[in-house]
Amino acid sequence: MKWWLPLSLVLFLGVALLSLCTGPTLQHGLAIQLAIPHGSTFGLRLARIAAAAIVGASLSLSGVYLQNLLRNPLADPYVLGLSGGASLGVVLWIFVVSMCSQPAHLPVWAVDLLSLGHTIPSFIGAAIAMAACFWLGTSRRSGFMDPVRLILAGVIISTITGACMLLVNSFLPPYQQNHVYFYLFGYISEITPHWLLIGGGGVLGASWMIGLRYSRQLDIASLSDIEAAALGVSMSRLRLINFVLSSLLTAASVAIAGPIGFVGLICPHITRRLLGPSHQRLLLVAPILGASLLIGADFVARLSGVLLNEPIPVGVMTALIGGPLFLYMMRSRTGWR
Amino acid sequence: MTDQTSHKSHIPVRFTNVSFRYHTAPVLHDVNMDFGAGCIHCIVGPNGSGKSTLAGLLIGMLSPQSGDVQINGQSLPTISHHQRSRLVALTPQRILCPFDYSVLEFVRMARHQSWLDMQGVESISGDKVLQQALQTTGVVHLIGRPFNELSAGEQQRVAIARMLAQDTPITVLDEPTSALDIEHQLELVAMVQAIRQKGGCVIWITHDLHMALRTADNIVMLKNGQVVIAGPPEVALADAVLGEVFGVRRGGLQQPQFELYSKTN
Repeated sequence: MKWWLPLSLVLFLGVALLSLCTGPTLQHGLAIQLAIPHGSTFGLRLARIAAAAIVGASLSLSGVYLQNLLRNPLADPYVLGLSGGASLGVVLWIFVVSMCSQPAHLPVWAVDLLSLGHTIPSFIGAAIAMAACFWLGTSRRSGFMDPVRLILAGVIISTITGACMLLVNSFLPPYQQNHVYFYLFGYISEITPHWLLIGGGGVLGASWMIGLRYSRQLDIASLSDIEAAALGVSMSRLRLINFVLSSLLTAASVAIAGPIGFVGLICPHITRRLLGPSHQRLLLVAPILGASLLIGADFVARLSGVLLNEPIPVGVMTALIGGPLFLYMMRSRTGWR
Repeated sequence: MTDQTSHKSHIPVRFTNVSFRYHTAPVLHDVNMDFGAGCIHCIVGPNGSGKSTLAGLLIGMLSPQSGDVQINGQSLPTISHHQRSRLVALTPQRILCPFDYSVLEFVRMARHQSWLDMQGVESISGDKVLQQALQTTGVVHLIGRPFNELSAGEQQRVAIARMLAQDTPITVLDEPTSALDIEHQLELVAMVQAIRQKGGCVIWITHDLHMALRTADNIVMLKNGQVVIAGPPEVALADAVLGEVFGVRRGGLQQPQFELYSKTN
């Protein structure tokens, strides 16, 4: 009966193994070789895969929580501007750090501490963007959230944060401008600090467990406030959980890899199509699917980067898959009603 | 009789001086009501008279700015969400299901509390109450279908099945017959009468005066958030009251007329 769980794990391991074992060879220039890497290559690729897995799973889980919170299958941290808010927080942090210090003159621990610091503005940015989205998306007359307003609010928030980031970027020293430019497209790197991966993994694990604990209540919460109340679910508690967890997950993934779009949209959608909307299954499978999808997308991005001799951000890949899917869902009956 | 009135717990639902307003607009003003057990109470009144707000207050989704709502002698804010869902069940006026739950998943939501106790018995056969609720409402054949693909009438019956599956002493129905054909309306009346027979307290919000006259033991007439009259149907739906509240005369609203309809076989 529960065939879907092992199947999704097999998919995940398969994609991870494929990505781990494939890469360019030094001897033959651009040729791509399928072999188990050794030495430092192994460590670097593993770190990259771990980063992709954590970010993919976090975004997918964040999508599940947001969709539940807003009772709308089109909700996604990228579409609603949460990722934009989080990355604006990060870029501002980079700006502040570059203003007040010369990293070269600082001791190593201080540099570490400064780079650790960007997780907090990332969370604050995500939470502010989400609150703004809520506020703007709620009709003042009826007091209800209107899906069209909400998506529009998200688009505008994304546009504003994007403009702010470009503005801040132009004040940065040139050596950092290129880095930020890449970051804004969503880029998974081999040299992601390990503590960041551990932190992101911790946030992911904790949010996952909390979600599974409340899975039945999440099912009920997706109906309406009056039904949730009648069935004994505290909406105020669940809203808070959904709000905090989706902001935290978005913030962690943005801190690791920048704003990567549509993973939170694609994976829950596919899982619902295959296994139905029950949160017990959704919460188990969607994050595994998210991890597999992002490892796969990053794998394609990495290989095409090798072939083009130019790094390609993974966010480009997910947007190319997710954008059309979003439009399709918007048009189709299952999108919103 | 004196024993019943003196002992608070025999009045399952009691509103004491309840006032409620959204932002600034008052919706309910100083409402006092008792809903006894083993009775069908119909709440009627024109659109916007505060009927649905009453339902929101009853299940604790809304809390009154002043006054007190008591369930079984306990003030509502002191009852936990879990406890409350075992005392009061509700069929909402509108059901929006953003995700494609199956009918079985939808009805099983009523049992999520007892499930946790039962450590995950997932088949219907393991759950007598659930089975009973599905059979009573005649939706057993629908359980595999997505809720969103049902007709409005079928959805309403499924919602009623979920309410019955909660197995509570107090049930609230908010306009449950709006999408039901005459046959299923009569079935619903029979279901509600069965709940009354077992000593349940039924609070039925409707604007169908025929239905109210036919089934209610007690009618509460609301207008502009205030109770105009409460009492047995003949009193509450008297010509003078109808004229005052709705601006209509009774005319066609006569007992014999709905006796024309009854289920065949």
